[in-house]
Amino acid sequence: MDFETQTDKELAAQAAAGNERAFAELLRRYERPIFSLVYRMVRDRALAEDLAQEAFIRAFNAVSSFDPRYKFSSWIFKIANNHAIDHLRKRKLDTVSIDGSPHARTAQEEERTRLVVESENENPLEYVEHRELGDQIEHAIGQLRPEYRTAVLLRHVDGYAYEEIAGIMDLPLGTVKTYLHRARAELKESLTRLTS
Amino acid sequence: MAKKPSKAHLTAERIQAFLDNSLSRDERDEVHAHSVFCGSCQAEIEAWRLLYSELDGLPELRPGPNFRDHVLASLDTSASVTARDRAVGWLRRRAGQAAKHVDPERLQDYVDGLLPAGQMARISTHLDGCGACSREEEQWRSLILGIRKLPVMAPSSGFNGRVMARIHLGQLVRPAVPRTAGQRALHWAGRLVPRTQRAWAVISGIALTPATVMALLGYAVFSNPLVTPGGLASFLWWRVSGGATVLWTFLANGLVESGLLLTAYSIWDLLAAAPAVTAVAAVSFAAATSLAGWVLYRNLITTQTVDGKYAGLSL
Repeated sequence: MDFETQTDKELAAQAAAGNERAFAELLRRYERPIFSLVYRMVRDRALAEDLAQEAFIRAFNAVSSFDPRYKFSSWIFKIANNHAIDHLRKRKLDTVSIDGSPHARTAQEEERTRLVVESENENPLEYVEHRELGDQIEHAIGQLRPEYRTAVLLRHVDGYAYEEIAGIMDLPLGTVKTYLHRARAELKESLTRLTS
Repeated sequence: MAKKPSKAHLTAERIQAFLDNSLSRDERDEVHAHSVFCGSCQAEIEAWRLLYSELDGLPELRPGPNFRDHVLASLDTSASVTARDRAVGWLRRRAGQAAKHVDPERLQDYVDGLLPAGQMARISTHLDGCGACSREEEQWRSLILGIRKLPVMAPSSGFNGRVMARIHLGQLVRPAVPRTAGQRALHWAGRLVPRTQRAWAVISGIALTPATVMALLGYAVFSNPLVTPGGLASFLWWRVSGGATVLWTFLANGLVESGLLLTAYSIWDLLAAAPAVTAVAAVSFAAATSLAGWVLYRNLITTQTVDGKYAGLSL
């Protein structure tokens, strides 16, 4: 059976029946988006891996309760986001770097914790330019409230519609709009400060 | 009788005809009457009037001797822009500058493509003539583009394996939905059983602490040679029965003194004397009891927990 051509819902149904390969395919599809979201929420690679891993395990072990009337991606993003937000509420983190863990004490440790960044369509010069702007944006996103961070990432990195974001974050649509307006205003202000 | 002013806005052609004095008397009166009540047309007429006066004030310049030949030779009729088009563009730009700036939230929605087509077109027209809003729009656009270009990040190579190793394939079959009250009670009780090591540790702690305290207390009491189990039981029985007697006496005295018994007896006497009243009272009481039971059943037992809109699962 070709799992790559199946929809998320078909895979979820097969996963609920205990098909291991369906799980593997769902994991392949969502490991990077989920890890990216969680990493940008908690700003620590090792922690992001733990949280993303825990989110996948929770979701997969409860996949039989997934309601196929909704999008699987929304469901799994909701679980991952709730998990990251819960963690942030318990422990406040403000570290910002994609160059490795800020807690690294040696160069080797920093290298080992450096993030793997995909840049398939960029030449080295474009990559460096985007990296500089990207670093500034990453930094600015890191300063946002966790709820604003989620809304901005879901909208502009993962491309979700406002209604879907409202579903993932369990918020009214108007609140999501307000979050996004405020988040973007704060980002613009931060970037203006950084570049001036 | 004075003609009622038209509600339709004046077109650019009509305003130009008005300023060119090429309208009939009635038509001029109509334009006048409309512009008195319509601020936007009044502003439009003033803008056109300003353009006319600026055009009238331009000095006349004489071109060089070969000017006409050059123009005619290089004339591209298909792409020519008429004076009227230029004037309309100039007017639009002026209108854009004069209008209120677009507020940042609407500008964000514009960049995000969320507004209806009509509003998008209006803002687009405004941006054509407003440098400040146009610059701000550029900033929003580059911010959103910058966020969209943030790289996708990958977890370390062993991530998949670690996740897959902790999926319990054997426990994935969805449990049957409990239908009867007994099944629901069992299902509810089943949810109380701890599922993680930490939960078991907490439950064990909660269960063991009072048991340990009671055991230590028992040991402290019975290690005294004067205290025997029989003696302690007699002492406890004496204290409990004494307390119960005092409580019963207190309640009985209170009941008698309050007159409730007398009232209840009077009501019973009345009901016994009229069987119809007794029947009505019994039916009312039974109906009220049934209703209360039904409300409790619906709210405490049959109502399911509402899960999230998307997930249907709260984790």
